Amino acid sequence: MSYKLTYFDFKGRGEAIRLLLATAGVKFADDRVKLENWPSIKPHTPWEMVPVLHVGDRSLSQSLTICRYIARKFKLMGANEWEASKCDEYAETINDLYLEWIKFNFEADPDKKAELKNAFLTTLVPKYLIKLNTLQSNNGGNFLVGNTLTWADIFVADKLQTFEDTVDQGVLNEYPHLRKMKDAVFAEPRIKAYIEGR
Amino acid sequence: MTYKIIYFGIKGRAEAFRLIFSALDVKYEDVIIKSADWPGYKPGTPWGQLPILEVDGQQLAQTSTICRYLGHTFNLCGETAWEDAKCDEYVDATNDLIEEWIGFKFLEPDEARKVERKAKFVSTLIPNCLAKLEVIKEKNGGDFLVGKKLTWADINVADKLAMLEGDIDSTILEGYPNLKMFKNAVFSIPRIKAYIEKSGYTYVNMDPGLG
Repeated sequence: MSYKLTYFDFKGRGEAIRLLLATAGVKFADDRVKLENWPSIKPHTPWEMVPVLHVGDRSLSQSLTICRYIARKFKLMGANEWEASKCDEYAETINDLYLEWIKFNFEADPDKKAELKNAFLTTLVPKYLIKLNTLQSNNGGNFLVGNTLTWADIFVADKLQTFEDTVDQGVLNEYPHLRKMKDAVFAEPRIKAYIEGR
Repeated sequence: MTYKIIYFGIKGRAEAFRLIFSALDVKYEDVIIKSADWPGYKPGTPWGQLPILEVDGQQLAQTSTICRYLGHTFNLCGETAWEDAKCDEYVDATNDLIEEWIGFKFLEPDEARKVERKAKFVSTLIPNCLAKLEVIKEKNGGDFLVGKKLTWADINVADKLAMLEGDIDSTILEGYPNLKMFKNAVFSIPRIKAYIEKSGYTYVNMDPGLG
């Protein structure tokens, strides 16, 4: 079965999928689209969006759908249906925060951007991460759900890394359990190897 | 298994769950939070939001997560891993549309921007989404979006189409005959039809304070 991921040549919504494929040990073609080529490629995508995962001759769209498909197939979804749903719940929640980050990150007006950054750090981050930090602590171990690595850990770790890299290096200072989880994800041998080879 | 839907007294994000339960004839309790009581209730919720599904006392949050959980629990998720993923894809793709609708209808503070966003929604976003969905439905054949049997995605998407008809334009499906047939097929399922006739919820004139 051949796998090809079509996405832009940056992390964005594609990186979590790349990390997940690497964790699953799946060889895939990393089809990176340059922004200037996007207008010609766009009409040929199912929903005029990327990422798109091509599996054989079929394609799947929507980043969380793609993550979930890979996770289900390669058993990175927890031990039962309830844990699978908890993976969904946490990923969708961090995705809500990521959508707020997008508004800040792509704001062209520097004054508005500074305002959005402040709101992001003082209101939005605590709103989501206090609870997520507690959930990780209550779960015990290194992960968010159950006893083993799931796609939710990878998805959340990827987004937290983005916030650290682009908003504030210290964004996880008050959320030690999330930092521990993120470090555990990036220490996974296959993820480490993928990042080193990137 | 006891099921409780905790939400406001509107269709909103919980209606898809109610439709799924009705289709399956599974009993559930509708725990209605009045908007006046919401500020006091909010801090005790997992993420400061509703809806929540409570299953034997355990709580699950996030609208799509809840729908998907019900879809998997009750085997309304297609017959293969691929069909399962297609359910996800169509729900996620139509979520983008509904989130934009919620954004300008309930959350946009600037009146001029609200008008602008609604205009773009009607002229561009709706047609872009419905055109693709129309082709998907046509190619799948039969009554539904994925495979041969009803899935949670059919219920979720049909509900969204009803939302758009109720709030934006009752003729919105006129250019999309396959989607019109699809929505009618879902809402004609006897248990769903019976629920709708009984429930009295409406998408017309939704309370703007509860988005």
